[in-house]
Amino acid sequence: MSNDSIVKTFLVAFLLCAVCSVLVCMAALVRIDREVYNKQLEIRKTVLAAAGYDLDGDINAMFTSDFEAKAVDLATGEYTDAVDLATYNENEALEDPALTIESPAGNEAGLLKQVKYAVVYLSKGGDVVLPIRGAGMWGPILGYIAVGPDANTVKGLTFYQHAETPGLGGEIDNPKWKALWPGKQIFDNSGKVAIKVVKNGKYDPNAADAVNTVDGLAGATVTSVKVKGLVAYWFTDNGFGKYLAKLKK
Amino acid sequence: MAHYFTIFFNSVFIDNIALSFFLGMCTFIALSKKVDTAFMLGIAVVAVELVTVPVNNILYNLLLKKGALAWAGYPELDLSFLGLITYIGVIAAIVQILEMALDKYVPALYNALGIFLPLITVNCAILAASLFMVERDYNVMESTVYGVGVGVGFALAICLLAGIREKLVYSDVPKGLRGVGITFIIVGLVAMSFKAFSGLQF
Amino acid sequence: MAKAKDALLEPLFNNNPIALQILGICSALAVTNKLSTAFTMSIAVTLVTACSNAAVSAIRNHIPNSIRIIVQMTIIATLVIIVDQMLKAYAYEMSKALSVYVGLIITNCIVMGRAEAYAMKNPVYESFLDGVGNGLGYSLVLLVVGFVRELFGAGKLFGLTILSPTTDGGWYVTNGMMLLAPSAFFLIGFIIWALRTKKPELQEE
Repeated sequence: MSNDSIVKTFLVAFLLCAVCSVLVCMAALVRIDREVYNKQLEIRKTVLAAAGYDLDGDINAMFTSDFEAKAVDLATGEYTDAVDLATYNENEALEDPALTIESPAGNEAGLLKQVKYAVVYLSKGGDVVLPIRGAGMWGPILGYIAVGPDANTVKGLTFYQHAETPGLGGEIDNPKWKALWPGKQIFDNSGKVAIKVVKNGKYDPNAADAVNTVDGLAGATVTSVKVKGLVAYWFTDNGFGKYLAKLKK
Repeated sequence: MAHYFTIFFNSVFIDNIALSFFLGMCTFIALSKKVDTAFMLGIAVVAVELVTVPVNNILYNLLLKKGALAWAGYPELDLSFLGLITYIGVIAAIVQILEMALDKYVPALYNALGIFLPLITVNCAILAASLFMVERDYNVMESTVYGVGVGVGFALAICLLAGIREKLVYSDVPKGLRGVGITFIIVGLVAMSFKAFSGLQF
Repeated sequence: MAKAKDALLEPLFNNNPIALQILGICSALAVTNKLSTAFTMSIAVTLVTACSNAAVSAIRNHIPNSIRIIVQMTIIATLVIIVDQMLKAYAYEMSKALSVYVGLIITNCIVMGRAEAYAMKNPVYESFLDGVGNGLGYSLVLLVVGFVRELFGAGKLFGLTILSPTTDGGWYVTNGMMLLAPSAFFLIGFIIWALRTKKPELQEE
């Protein structure tokens, strides 16, 4: 049969499609199998890192022995059973209009919408690890921040997704910079959100508000401002403000 | 309206597909020797982007996205892993159709574009526009504007480079650097100057 | 056997796909700011080029001319999706770092170019070696660029600190430009310059 006959053309096209689709589907099945596990592991790693754990060792064992997940209704600040924690995923919920609300216009985190229910992680030591997200310079920044039992002291923060400029804004992953956060206070004496990131070098350890202030990244003013905005936003009443107020009591 | 203008302006200047994301570089370097060929290629890219990005957007939203097949009774199905093969298929098919249509109805343009059209199928700028469109969650109208913006951005960049290369004929470049060598270094310099746009905020 | 050896070794220096044929540059620029991403990308491209060459060559006598391009494209796209899904399954963090660039291997001109120019005319074994050779030629440039960019941009290699940077209290002032994409253009320009100075027959007028 000639290669260019219509029958042969269709035959080749059909066979090729059949073989390729089987291969692609097999690959996809393997990936889907592992994906849930991979995403869960990433969250667990970030939560542990934010809470100041050393990541050498069995992540899953450390996590399950020390942490408990709970869903929080951000509007009331109460724990909720509205979502099933086994399947609920904030990044997926963000695509579902029934599970999201519009963020206030012009908010400092640069968000358009946010989830109604957030998953927080309570540690044995009484710390609570909260998810935070917001717009960065080039793309969204996603991470977790750990807060101590007084609902005011930062224990640490870690980001698991961002697209900041490597070497400049990308230094938000630098352990040296992250080490500036533990011990900082989120609220001032009147209970207002006061935590902030200042321009690199403008940090004054003797200033009255030094306990609320983190030094910015060198050469990354935009990223520093964005991180300040998104951290501060999530401690207002639009974020975890109500929840933390209840936790304090 | 302002929203569409922002998408357009962003994709032409700030997120220029050639000079900020460095996509479509093979054709970008190979076909930037003369301004008029560069201009022709630019037009071809705009035309193909204008059609492929919205078509891929419709396919993604109606068939591939998670939950998109709810109308057919499969609300849990997520076919997004078929995205790559779908987009490239659509691009290859549309380029082929465009080629045949031009040959039949606008032979003058067909002759001018010549080999550029088939080359566009393997231009990563075209595929990347569809991939970015999905990542940024655009609707049909936004993706059309985005597609045109990406095409215009590429056309602008390649014409700029061709302009410089035409002038370069008169300079005394070290022997080993002549041709593509010096072109790479020029693209690097142009790309650095485009970084200046990234400070603009809308 | 001489032919097989040529197929494997020619693309490394004498006919390097990136430096001399100016193919497959896009991904070379975007993933070379770290050696680890450059290395993963090298393996992915070498695998895809070798396998697609072998597959296209195996059925080359049965491919109807009219659907030649789309047949090659389908084979390549299938292989790329498999690589992409495997990376997502077993190297999740790496797949996030490479983002859309794994998918863009489909439009990497090296893969398509070798399928059309070599695999359509040669037997399976030689086509496979030609694919490996071109993949390695691509890898060579990628690794050199990645090496320079990570070492001078961040003072590290594969994430391990070599030159202790000032941001960590060391002595090395990192060259931030190296981490941005334009530096890759300069480096590839210099690599071409060096190659062509050594082999004057490759120079352009």
